[in-house]
Amino acid sequence: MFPIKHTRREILQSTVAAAGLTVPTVLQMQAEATLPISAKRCIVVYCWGGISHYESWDPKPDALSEIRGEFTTIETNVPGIRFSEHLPLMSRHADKMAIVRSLYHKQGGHQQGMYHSITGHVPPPGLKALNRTNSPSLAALMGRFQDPDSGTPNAIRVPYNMYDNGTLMAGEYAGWLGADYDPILMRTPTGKPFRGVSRYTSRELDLKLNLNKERLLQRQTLQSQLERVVGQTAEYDRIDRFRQMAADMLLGSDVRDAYNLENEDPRIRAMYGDHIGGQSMLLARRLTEAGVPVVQVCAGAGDLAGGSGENWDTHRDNFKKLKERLLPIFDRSVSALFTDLEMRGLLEETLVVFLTDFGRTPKINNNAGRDHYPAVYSMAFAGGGIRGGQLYGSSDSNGARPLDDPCTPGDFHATALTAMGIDPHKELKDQFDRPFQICNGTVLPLF
Amino acid sequence: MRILVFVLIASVCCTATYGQNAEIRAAIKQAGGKIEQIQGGLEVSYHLGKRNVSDRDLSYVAALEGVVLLNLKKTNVSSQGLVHLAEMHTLKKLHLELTKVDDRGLQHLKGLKNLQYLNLFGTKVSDDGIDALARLKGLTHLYVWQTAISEAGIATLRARLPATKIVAGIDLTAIVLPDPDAPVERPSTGLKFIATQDLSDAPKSGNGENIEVVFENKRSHKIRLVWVGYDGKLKVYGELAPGGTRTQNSYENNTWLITDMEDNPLGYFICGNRRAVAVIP
Repeated sequence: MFPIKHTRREILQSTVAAAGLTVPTVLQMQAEATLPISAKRCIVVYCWGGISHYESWDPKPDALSEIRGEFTTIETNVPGIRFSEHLPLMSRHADKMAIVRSLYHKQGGHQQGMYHSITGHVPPPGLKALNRTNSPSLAALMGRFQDPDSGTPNAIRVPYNMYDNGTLMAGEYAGWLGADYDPILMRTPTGKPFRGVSRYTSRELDLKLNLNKERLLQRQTLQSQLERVVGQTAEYDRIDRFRQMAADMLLGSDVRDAYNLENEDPRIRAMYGDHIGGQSMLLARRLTEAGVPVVQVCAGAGDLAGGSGENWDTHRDNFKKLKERLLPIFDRSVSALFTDLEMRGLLEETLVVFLTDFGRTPKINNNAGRDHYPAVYSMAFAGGGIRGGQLYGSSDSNGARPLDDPCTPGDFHATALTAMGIDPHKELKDQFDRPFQICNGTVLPLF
Repeated sequence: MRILVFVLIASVCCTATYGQNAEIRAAIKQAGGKIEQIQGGLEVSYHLGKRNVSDRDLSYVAALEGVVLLNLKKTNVSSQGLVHLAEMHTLKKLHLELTKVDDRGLQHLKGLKNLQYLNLFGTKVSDDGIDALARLKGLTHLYVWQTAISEAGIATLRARLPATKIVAGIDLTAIVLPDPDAPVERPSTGLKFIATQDLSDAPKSGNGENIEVVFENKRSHKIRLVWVGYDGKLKVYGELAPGGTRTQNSYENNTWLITDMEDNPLGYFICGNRRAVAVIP
């Protein structure tokens, strides 16, 4: 486990005092900030494995070479914000993004770090996937507060489950919200796969497979797929709801039309790139446009497979992997998503949230890689009423510790929920009537 | 007494307004519209419901008090129908994208002084609509991608609405489409064919990077392509005619067994970490 030398309270005290503010003043400022609510849908982009903050949104060009790494930096379309040189397309969209450079937590392992980042809650001991006492993911929680039309799931995930060496990860599900709100996993129908290991099970929905078969057959197949999902959680009473949703989706809903990427203008498809990374972003746009309130995209191979393959867990050949494969796919697909959402007039109403497990170590290891580093890392927002072209917080000159405005995944979640018009401190009850506060973070002033 | 009469009249009026509003709401919902309370007023949307929005439906929306957001995306609303929106002075956001609305429709929007967001993406609006648009001085966002407005028209709009963010989108014709007939490059590396008649010689598959293998059958007979699983179980992936090729998704360290059509082993390949050709001699 990575040693953390400071507590959140200590950091808050030091930075608040340094800024000449007292805690009550800060609280008062937070209370006075009336937030314009405009997001109606959300796309969560998850960089599975832990994207390096150095090689993406928080480069350190003035650090020593053993920390700085091989890449240089480039200007963005916002003066004062620089990105890694391998995000040239995204650098033209910095005016749409709010980048948080001072996130931190204490979880050095993938499962724990991912759970903290995706649920906003500290992982409990003995964490296991599909446990109904787990906290819900951001996508599941946001979906819980929506009221989509019949045949439209509250939340969808594409294209893979997250695994670590064959172990299914906890955190992507609805947890104590119950099976009704588990985001439904869908297979992206086109695009070259990420290299490495991505595990498909029989449980993803693949509407395309069913498109040309008899309606009855489609219905049965899809129902059985869904029943297997539900059966696994032993909540058989939920089957009816899924059965109805499956039938509605198959009987020609907007969701099914959205799923068929062949319906999209081929030039738009080309803009996203002929890769599952890009086609999944396109699918997310189409699904949210068709009324699915929340779509989560796994931007990388599904199984970390010991740091091999195309995921963000770059213990080996960090620079080669990022430069040749991961960053170009990410850069192109995210930039296409921003362009597409903006020209359709959807960006203002669509919150895009970037999450990841943690950052990477300042020191480059003997395998030209960077290891896990939760002491400081970056995540980002775009659209959805969040003011673009801003940085929130900073890391120190070595990218090793938060310097200004340290914040936690909980704070990031509170901000995302608020953007979607959801009170982050609302209390909900689980199926046993036990109360849970949905988020314990503080809203960041990004609106 | 006067006060009592006033209160009585006021309450009757309120009830009447409420009753009227309730009727209007019911009519809107019946036509597939969704009404939601949002910050600052009401949102009415038809974009995910029934797409047949008649002029009469729009007259109901116009009669509803406090509508700040109206979403008519992808509906069959016409320019003529927009006449009902002319007096909706509370309106701040209006979605008309992917409708049949053209320049004539814009004439009805000229008086909407509070309008901040107007989405005309995918409509037939042209340079002839610029004058009407330029009167909407309160606009902060205007979307005109895939309309008939020319580049010069966009420049005029930008000059006349300097405080408005005008999104004209990208030129899709500049995007180069991948050539579906482009020849697939033959891999430069080849896998070694290890001839054997003993099935137990072929090892279980191991994990690794995702790669492609291009199998080429140089034999004069048909063969079967069999994947040796991670647990050693065999799975037939297909058959390859004499002279045939097949591009197969695989992983580094995977074992591919080749058998004849009677399932007698002929030999096997073990994948490396890059795209490779596997010639069956």
